Amino acid sequence: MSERRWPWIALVAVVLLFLFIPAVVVVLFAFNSSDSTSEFAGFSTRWFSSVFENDEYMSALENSLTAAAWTTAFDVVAGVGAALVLVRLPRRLTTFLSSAFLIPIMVPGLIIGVALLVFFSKIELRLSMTTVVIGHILVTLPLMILIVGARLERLDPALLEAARDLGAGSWTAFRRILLPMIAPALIAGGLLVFAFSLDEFIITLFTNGGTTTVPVLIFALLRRGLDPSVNAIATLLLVGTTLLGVVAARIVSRRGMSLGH
Amino acid sequence: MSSEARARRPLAPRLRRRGAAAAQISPAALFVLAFAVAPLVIFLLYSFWKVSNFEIVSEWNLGNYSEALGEEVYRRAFLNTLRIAGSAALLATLIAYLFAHAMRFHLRRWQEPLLFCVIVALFSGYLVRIFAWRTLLGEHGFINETLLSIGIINEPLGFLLYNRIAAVVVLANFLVPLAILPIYGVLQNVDEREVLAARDLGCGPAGAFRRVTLPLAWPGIAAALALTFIIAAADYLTPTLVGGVNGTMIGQTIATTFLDSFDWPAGAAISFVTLALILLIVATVRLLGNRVLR
Amino acid sequence: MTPSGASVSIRAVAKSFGDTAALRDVSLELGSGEFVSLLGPSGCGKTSLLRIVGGFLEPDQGEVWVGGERIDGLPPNKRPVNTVFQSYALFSHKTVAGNVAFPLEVAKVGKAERRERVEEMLAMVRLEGFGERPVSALSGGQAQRVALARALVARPAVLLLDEPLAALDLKLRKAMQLELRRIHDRLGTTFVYVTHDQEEALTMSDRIVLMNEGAIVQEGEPRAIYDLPADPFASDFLGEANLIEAEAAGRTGELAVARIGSKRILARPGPEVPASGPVLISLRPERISTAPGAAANRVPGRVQRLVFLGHAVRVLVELENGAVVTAQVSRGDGDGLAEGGSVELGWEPEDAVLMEPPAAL
Repeated sequence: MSERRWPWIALVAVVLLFLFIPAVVVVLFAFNSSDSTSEFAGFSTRWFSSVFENDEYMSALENSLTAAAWTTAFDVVAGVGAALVLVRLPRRLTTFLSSAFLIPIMVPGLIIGVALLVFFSKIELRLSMTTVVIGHILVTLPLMILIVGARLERLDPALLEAARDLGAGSWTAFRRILLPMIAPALIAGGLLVFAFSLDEFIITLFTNGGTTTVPVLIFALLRRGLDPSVNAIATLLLVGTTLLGVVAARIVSRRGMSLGH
Repeated sequence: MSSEARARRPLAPRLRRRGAAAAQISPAALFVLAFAVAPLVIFLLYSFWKVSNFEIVSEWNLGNYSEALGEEVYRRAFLNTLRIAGSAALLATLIAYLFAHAMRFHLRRWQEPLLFCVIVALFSGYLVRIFAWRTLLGEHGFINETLLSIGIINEPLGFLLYNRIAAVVVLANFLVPLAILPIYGVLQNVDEREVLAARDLGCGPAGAFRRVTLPLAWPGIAAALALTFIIAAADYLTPTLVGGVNGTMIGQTIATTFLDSFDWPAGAAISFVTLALILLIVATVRLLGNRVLR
Repeated sequence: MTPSGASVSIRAVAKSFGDTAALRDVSLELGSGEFVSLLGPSGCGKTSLLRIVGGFLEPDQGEVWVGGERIDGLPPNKRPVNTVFQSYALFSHKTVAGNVAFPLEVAKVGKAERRERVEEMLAMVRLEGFGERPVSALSGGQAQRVALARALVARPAVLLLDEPLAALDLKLRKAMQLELRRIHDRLGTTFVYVTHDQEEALTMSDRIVLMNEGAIVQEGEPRAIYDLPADPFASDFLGEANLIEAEAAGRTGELAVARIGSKRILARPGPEVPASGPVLISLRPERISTAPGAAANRVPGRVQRLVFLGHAVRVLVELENGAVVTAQVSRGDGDGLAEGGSVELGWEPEDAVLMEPPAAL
C-alpha cells in the first residue's frame, strides 16, 4: 500500500529548511564584506580577523574553553565512577538512579542559575570560574551518566563474571574489560559535554563573576547594539558545537548505540 | 567458580564490596546533593523570607507568594507565558511528530541521514539561533530586505518581530529537534503491520492513525510536550530578544529580579510558583492524554 | 444463520517488482464458500496474489472481482475481504476482546451487540474467558486464534490467510489445521489460504492452486492434482514422485507408449506430450509394487538400498538405463528383498503419467 511520498518529502524539506535557516544566516553574514545584516555584499573574512584581534572576544573564548575542559574532565571521571557502581547494582536500581540523576535536567536552567546565585551568596563563595564550572557540571553530569548507563545496560554481565572468574581482581577486571567497553560512551559523552558547556548560557549568566564566556559575551554585545563581528564569533561557536555533536553522533552510531533504540 | 563455592564465600567481603561501591558513587552523588539539592532547598527557604532595608531578613512570611499569585503584573506574565510556551510546545511537537512520522513510515531509506540532520540541528546552538532570527525578522533584516527588493512589499513588515508570534516561532525553532527524539524513539517500536491490520479491518488512513498509531505513540508525544513546555516556559532569552512588549514571559521577570533588583525572596517565590505551574500543566496533559488515548 | 462467502474472480493479474515478474497474467475463479489453497515454493507469487486481493499491493494489470463487484481499485478497508497476517499483527495496546471487537467498533456496531458477537467468536475459536487478557500474555497458538477471530467477527465474504500456521510447532499446526477447516465449514466463508506446505494444502483444501514462478501450474481438487499432475514440477512438489527418463514411442488407444531403456511401458499421457523424443514418466513410490504378479508394466532392476520405515519399506532400485527409482512397498513385500539382489518393479498404466521434460535452461 504505497501512498504518494511527495507530500512527505516536501514536509521534511520544509522542516529542515526551518531548522537550518538561522545557522545558515549567521554563517553567511559572518563572511559578509559589508557591515549590513540584511544584504550580502561580498565575501570577506574581516569579521573573523576582528574577532581574533579583539581582547574581549579572546578572553571570553579562553574562558569558555577552560570551563568546558574542567567540566568535561570532572564528568568523565565521575562517569567512570558511576559506571563502576552501576555495574554492580541490580537492574532496577540502575534505572532508578539514572533517573534520579536526571533531576537537574528537569528543572529549568534559569531557576538553577538563580538558585545557584543565591546559594553561592549564602555560603559566601565568590563568583568565578569555579562557580561557572559548578553550574556546567550540574547540567552535564546527568547526560554523561545517562550515556554511560545506557552503554552498561547493553553489556553482557557474563563478560565481567568471566573476567573475575579467571582470576582478575576487581580492579584489573574493570581496567582491562569494563573501561575499554565504556570508552566509546565516555568519549562520545565527553564531546557532548564539551559542546554543551561551550554553549551554556543561562546558568553562566548568573554564576559568572566577570569570567565571561562566549555566549554571555554575545548576549552582552546584542544588548549593546548590532555589530557584525558578533556573527563571526557566533559562527565560531556554532561550528565548534556542531562539529563536536557530529563527531559524538558518529561514535555513538558506529558502536551500535543509536538513539533510535 | 561453582555455585557451591560461591555460597561458601564469606559474607564479610561482600559487605565490604558494598561499602566500596557506595564510596565510589560519592563524587557524582555528593556533587548533585551539594549543588543541586542544597541550593534548591535554600532557594525555597529564601522564598519565605523578605527584604528590609536592603538586607535579606529571614523572617518567615508568605508575602512573596501572595504577591506572586495576586499582583496583576505577575498574573499577566504567567498567563502570557502559558500562552506562548503552550503554543510553542504544541507547534514544536506537531512539527516534530510529522517529521518523525515521515522518517519512520514514508522515508524509511533516509532515516539515518535525517536523524543525523536532526542531531546537527540540535547542536547548532541556542543563543546563536535566537540572534539569527532577530537578524532574519527585523525591519532591516534579511526577510524584509529581500521582500522589499523583489517588490512584494513596499514597506518593511514590522509585525515579524517583537511580538508573541515571533517568540512562539523562535522557541519552536529551537524545540523541534528536541521534540523529534522521543517521538522518533517511540515510533520505532510501532509495528506497521498493526497499522495494516487496522486498514484491513475497516479503518481509513486517518482511522488507523487515530486508533493504532496514536495510542502507541502517545508516551513519546507526551514526553516531547513535557520537555518542550518546561524549556519554553522558563525561557529568558527568547522573550528578551524577540518577544517585544506583549511577549513578556515569566522568565524575564525572574531574571530581572536577580540581575537588576535585590528582592531575591520575591524572585524565589515567583520561581517556585512557576515550577509548580509547569508541573501542574505537564501532569494534567499526561493524565488527560492517558485517559483519552488508552 | 451462517452467511455464505462470495466468489472471487481474478482476471489477468500481473505484477512486477523492478525487473522481476512476481505474477504473470494470472487468472483464477474461486467459488463462494470454497476453501482454496495457493500452494507453491517461496517466490512463486502466492503471497503477492493474496496481497493484491487484500488491497495491500496494486497490480500492474488485471482486475479482481469479489461477489460480482470489482474491487481492485479499492483500499483495504473498503473491501469485503479480511486478512489473517502471518505475524498475527494483534493490536498490542488492546486486550483480546479489544482486538476482536475492533472491526465492529469501526463499523459502529452497538456496544451490546459487539459484546455478544465477540463472545460468540471467542467461543468459536475456543478462547472463552480470554477476553480481558493482554495480548502480550498469549501463546503463539492463542494469538493465532485471536487473529482469526478478529478477522472473522465482521463476517467478511472472503478470508485471506497468509501462512498463518507457519510459526507454530508441528503438533499445534496439525490441530489448528482441523480447527480452521471446522470453522470454515461452519461459517461458509470463502477461504483463500497461502502455504508452501503441500501436506497442509492436501489436508485442508477443497481445491489447490499450484503456483510456480508467477504463474498457475495446475489447479483442481487435491486428489486430481495428486493422481494426474500436469508437469514435473507439479508431480514433484505435491507428494513425492519418481521422474524417470524415457523415450516417447507413440500412442496405443488412450494410453501413451514409452521405452525405458529396452523395456516398453504404458502410461497415461499428460497434456501436450510429444509422440516421440525424450519424456519423463511420473510415478509415485507407493504405486510401485515389487511383488511378482501381473501388473501391466514390468521393469527389471537391481536393489540399491532398502530403507526401513516401520510401517513400510522403501526400495531404491537401479534400472537398466541407470535411472534410480524409489518404490514404497508393504512390509510383506519389502522384507523379502535384499540389497544387491535383482527385483522386478511393476505398476499399472493409470498410475503413471507421461510428461514433457522441463525446458532446457
